[in-house]
Amino acid sequence: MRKYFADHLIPTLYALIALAFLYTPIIVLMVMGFNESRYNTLPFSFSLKWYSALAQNEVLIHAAVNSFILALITALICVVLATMFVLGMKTLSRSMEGLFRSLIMMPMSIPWLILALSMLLLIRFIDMDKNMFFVVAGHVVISLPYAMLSLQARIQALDPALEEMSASLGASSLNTFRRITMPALAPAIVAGGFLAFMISFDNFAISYFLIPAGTSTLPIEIQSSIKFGFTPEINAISTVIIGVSLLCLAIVGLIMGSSIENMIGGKKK
Amino acid sequence: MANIKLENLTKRFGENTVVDRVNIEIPNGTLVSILGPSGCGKTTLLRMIAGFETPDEGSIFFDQDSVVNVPANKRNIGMVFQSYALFPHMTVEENVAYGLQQRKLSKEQIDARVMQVIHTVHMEEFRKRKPKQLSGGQQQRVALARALAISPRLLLLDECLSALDKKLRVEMQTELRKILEESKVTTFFVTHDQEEAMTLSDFIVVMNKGIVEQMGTPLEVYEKPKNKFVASFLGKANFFRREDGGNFAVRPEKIHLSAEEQNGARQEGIITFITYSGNITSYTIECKGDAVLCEKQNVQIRENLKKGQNVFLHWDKDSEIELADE
Repeated sequence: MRKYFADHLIPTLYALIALAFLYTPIIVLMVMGFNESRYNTLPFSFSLKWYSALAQNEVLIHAAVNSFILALITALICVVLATMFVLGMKTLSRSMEGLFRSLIMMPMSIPWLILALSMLLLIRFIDMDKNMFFVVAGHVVISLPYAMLSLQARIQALDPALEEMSASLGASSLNTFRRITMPALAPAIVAGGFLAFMISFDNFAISYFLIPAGTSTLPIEIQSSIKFGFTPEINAISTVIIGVSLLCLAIVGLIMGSSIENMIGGKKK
Repeated sequence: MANIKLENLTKRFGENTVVDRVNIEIPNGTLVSILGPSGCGKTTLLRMIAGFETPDEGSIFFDQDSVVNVPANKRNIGMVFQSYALFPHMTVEENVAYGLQQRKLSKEQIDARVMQVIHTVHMEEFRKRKPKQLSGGQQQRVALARALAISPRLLLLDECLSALDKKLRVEMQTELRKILEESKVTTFFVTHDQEEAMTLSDFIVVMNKGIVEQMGTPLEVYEKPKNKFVASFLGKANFFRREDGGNFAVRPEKIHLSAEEQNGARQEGIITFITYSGNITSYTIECKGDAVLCEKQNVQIRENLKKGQNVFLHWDKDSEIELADE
């Protein structure tokens, strides 16, 4: 009995506590979005009033649309750049490739706050006004490493013999790219795009430092509403975002999963 | 189909000369094995012929045309790699059709040719499958069909049977030989397996350290190897030194053993090891400090020779292979 307790109960309990620690705040946030009370207080009484208020809240919706468009543009630019980089890096020597990769990956290890600040200082230095171009550029810098991670993993698993085989069968390099390389990279491009999208959509620091006055994104709007006292509409929109993120994650998982299976099938057992 | 001629073909990677002035000429429709240990330059040689590597010196001729400056996709060469490199996102049919689609052919022509080649390799019932749903031997057939579909001037097979297990490999060797004889395509077959090279080829090119040690029919290369390397890489050999300093080799199966001294015995020694392996028995005999290997076909069960016994070794003068090494 005592052994059972030590071997099973304690690890289970430990895992439950860890999970509770991770998820309690999120669950509270989601539940309070459905609560009548304006101040996130108990007793709980179910209501959809904050969701209908959200539907009327043009500031929040406008900010969310801004964030969505910004993230979409960022993701598109990131996947195009990342695809070009991983393909181009194959032609470099090993040491040059390593150097190049570190340079692109560096923004992952520099705090976003510092990056944002340095970008702001640069804009000041070249004496320009803040504009959306800089915001997009900043978002691309921080999202690109994530798109690269996804594509690099894929291209390293890609058998170089496939492209050679395509050439020996008479395909031009354009046809090889179109019919062999792209289909092999496609799942990683989609997955990398989703990752870049989520990083950009979520980003506060870069947007806050670089965005021109009068424009805002959802993270900025949420931050400012906390400053001035917020209603559970914020809970409602957060819940929506969590839902969308989970959906994205599920899609990425599905695509990556099937692509890994495809790769194994292409190689000898 | 074409005569293939390699002239002074040389490839260096930095300081390393990987392929060193290789001259080979092979007639139309023959199957040539390039045999050598790993790192001997055989794969680099193949990659130069295919157009994936540019030679530093020398030329490659298909009939009268020099192809050194022709890109890989214009050389019309069929290839089969050790990894098969089947396109994972395409079905068997699509894989085989790929090369034909790169040429200006009608859909009907392509379909007809695909069916024909798939039939040749007996893969009709699997034509809608993806590569990962096939066994190793089946993938091998598809890879071969894909290479043959484009009616190549030359077929290059790079260790393409090595990934199969032994039984399947022997089966595929026979089948490959049959298919290639039917299609009459000139073929280069790179391998490190000497048995495979002997079974499949009209000619064998033995390579070592970037140079061609010897080229000839399997019979010539086995019976008359030029030097120690060829003699020991292709089959087994015992090496002896003459009093005048020359070297010669004798194949183990050409040595006769007898317990009593007879006229003309060439060596005398003691049996130190006996291995019975069904069809043959191998004896290791110690002669003046050298180990000599002797193999006997077990036509009758012979138990008269025992370990530790003194024996006399005989062989015909004709069985002595003169070697070029000093």
